[in-house]
Amino acid sequence: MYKKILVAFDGSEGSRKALTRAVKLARAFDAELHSISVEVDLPQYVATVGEFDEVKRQKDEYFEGLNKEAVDLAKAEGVSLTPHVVAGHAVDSIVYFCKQGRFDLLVTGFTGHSRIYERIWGGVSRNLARFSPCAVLIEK
Amino acid sequence: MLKKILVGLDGSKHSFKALEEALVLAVLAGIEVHTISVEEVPRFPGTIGEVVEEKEAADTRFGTVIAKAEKMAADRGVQLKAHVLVGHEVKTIVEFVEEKGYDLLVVGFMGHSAIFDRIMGGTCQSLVRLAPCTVLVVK
Repeated sequence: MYKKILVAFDGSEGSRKALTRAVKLARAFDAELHSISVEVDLPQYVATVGEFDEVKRQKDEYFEGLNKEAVDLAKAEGVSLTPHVVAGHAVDSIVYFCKQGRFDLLVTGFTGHSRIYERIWGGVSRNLARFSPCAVLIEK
Repeated sequence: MLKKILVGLDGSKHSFKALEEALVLAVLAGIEVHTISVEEVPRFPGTIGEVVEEKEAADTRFGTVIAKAEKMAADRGVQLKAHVLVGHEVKTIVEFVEEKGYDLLVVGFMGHSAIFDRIMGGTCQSLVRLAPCTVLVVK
């Protein structure tokens, strides 16, 4: 049923649970597994280019670690995982990536926020459920 | 991996799609599938007859829906258990999941406009937020 699975992985506890679930599903369906991490807070106003580069370098190191963790976890279960890192707004980037890659399942973690917060901002997983072009599994 | 699956079944096209995916998952995991259909009875009826009539209509409607669901399950060789409850959709489903300890809730997605969603919230979005277990939103 699922041929291409995408898991949103930002290193949070919820996203680790999502990754574990995605790996199991990928194995069960013999599906292609990809992970996506979004670099969300690159500085928008910098004094020098060096400042931007420095932040970017730090972030890149963090995401390299994440990618390795995801690949290793999948490998332990005998699944091969292709990691991706993109820069941008979390929901926007994931939905776009999902459409481009024609994924048929998106797996994401869940972080609960207050009702007020969600009414104004919307939770990431909730917005993903709404805007994703494919089925979404919200792991709790 | 999965032990108990519940599908929100309101008879809509989206809910049957959700059931279809749930059945595939159930075959993989070798488990049965439960469905839940929630009847909303009129809150401010003029007479008791109005409630009775509404309930009868809902019963007949869900009867057809459940028969179709059972046939889909049988085609895939999956055991299906249907539950029909009365109350508010989201509240009833969330409480039912908590009480019976399901580990996956599968629901269909029906899109609304941004404004409608912001004010009313979709049933599926409320379920994503409030359900105690993992939720699969099928599109």
